[in-house]
Amino acid sequence: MVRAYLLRLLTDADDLTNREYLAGWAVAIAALGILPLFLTTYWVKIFILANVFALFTISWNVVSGRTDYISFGHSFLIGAAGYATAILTTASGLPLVVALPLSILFALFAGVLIFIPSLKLRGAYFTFVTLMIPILAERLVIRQSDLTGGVRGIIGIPNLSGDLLVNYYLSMGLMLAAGLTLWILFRSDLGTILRMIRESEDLVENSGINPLKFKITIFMLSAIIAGVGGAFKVTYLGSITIDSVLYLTLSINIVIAAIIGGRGSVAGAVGGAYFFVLYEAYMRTFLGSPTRHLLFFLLGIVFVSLFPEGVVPRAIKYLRDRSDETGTGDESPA
Amino acid sequence: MVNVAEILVSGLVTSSFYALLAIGLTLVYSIAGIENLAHGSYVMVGAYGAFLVTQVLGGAAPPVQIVVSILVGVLAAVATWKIVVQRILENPVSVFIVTLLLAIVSEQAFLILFGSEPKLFPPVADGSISILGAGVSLNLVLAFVASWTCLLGLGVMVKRTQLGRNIIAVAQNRKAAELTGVNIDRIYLLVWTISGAFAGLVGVFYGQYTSLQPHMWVFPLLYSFSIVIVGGLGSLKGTIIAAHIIGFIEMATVQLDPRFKGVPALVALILIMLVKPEGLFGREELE
Repeated sequence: MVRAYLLRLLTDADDLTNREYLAGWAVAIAALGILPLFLTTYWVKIFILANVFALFTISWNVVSGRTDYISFGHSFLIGAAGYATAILTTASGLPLVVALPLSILFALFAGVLIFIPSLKLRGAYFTFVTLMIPILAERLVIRQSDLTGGVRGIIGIPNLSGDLLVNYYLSMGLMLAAGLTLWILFRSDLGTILRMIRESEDLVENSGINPLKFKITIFMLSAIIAGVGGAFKVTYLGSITIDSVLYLTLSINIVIAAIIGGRGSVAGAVGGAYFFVLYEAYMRTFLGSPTRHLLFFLLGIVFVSLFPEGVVPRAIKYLRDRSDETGTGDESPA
Repeated sequence: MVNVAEILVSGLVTSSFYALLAIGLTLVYSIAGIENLAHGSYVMVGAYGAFLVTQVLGGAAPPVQIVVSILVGVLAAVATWKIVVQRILENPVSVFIVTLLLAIVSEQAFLILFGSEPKLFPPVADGSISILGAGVSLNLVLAFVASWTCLLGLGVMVKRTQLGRNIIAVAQNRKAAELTGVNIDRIYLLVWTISGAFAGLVGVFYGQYTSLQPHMWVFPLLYSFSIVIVGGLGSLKGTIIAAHIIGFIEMATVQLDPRFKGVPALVALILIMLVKPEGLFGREELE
């Protein structure tokens, strides 16, 4: 039963009822909910970071999952919200309740900066300009070190909660909310239009649909999710450095993790993020950071060139092919 | 103080090797229809190549440095083509993600091998001469001469030789060229070789002009990218003219405030895409 259901849930998007989907989400929530009970403090911390990273990959998927606007500028959105939170709570002394919404607003402004190139730039040119944005922002942060703390960053940012489990469930809740948003987005008419934009933006325009409206929507939505992730990460860690929120490598890791998991899939985004954070946590003991990054980037190259569709969609395809071969799937009671 | 003569002379020199850099990018685009984001890395590879050969031999003659940097540039470009890009040519999105990752991988590898400390190496040619009252190092004069030799050489090859005409044929219509008996694989290889050789050569001069760092691929990529877009993809003449526009603006800006390095090129890239996306000289066939 369970196996047959899981197979159906994973392989077939069409003949499932809403109730079955709901059940799938419930299982995911329950599994994530009881997870910290089996983990040591160290691993709970790792999983909080994994949830935050999943927010980033989900945010990336909103823009780049179903279109060919591949953004390498997402660390800029995260950094914008992170630095806003850090500066507003320390230098300006604002309480978190005020600082957090303002930070997310700030991420929205940053999102406009990433969005503008997409007006006319396509493909590699869009990617290239988005790539330059975190590089230039990094220089700006170092130049304005009175405000940003430069290379050393800012410490003493207030936490939302001092309790580890509360932080875990917060991160989990945010990730699930973002995941649900992406899931709904992909299944809505907007999702269909995004796929059309990927095929041919000119064709969408010629058929009387203004792609601009949809592009603005996804860029802003993406900026909000990235902003939430960035602001949460900063308050959770209590400190900010260029490396933790803004550095170009963060953008690259987001892209690779999302592609390994599978572009355009919620499960892929979360799976890719978890894979990346766990990879970092495991490898930390054996390898120095440049080698660790190098290996991950190489893995990215292998995936983009050999399995550009990613693990989750590939697994789904494999399961679907298999269940097609064996008829309607496993009918025997389990 | 803004020194007009200095901007003029240094602008001419830098523009010449920007042109050399961008020509490689535009050639690859014309032939293979893909944007190679690893292009800036060949500059880094070329610069480190020249640096290492100087280190290992305890000082190397300029021709040796130049030959080595060209060789490693070619090696890197041909490896990009043969090992990775050739296999995924039908998917341009994958190509630019992969080539960008290649650039970042090479940065990371060089970081592990040589550390992040900026390295300096003695110029290919020592001393300086005075042109229009501005002191110009012989190194830059050499860069200027070498760049124009290559640019003119390429021009002659493309216009006057059968091989050059074959390149144009492939750029215009790959299938038709193949039917008339052009060996496509050889043309691809040739174009990537030229592209890598030019970028590697730029590396010798660029490395001495800034300093050697693993992330030194970023600015060459930025310059060549915006030059190609401003000039119009596929246009050789347009590329050379755009290289001078970007080169001069860049020199003038750096004279005013070195912190704005690279910003004019990026602004030019975005502006031209918003106003005239086909480039100043049209998105034409390779000419």
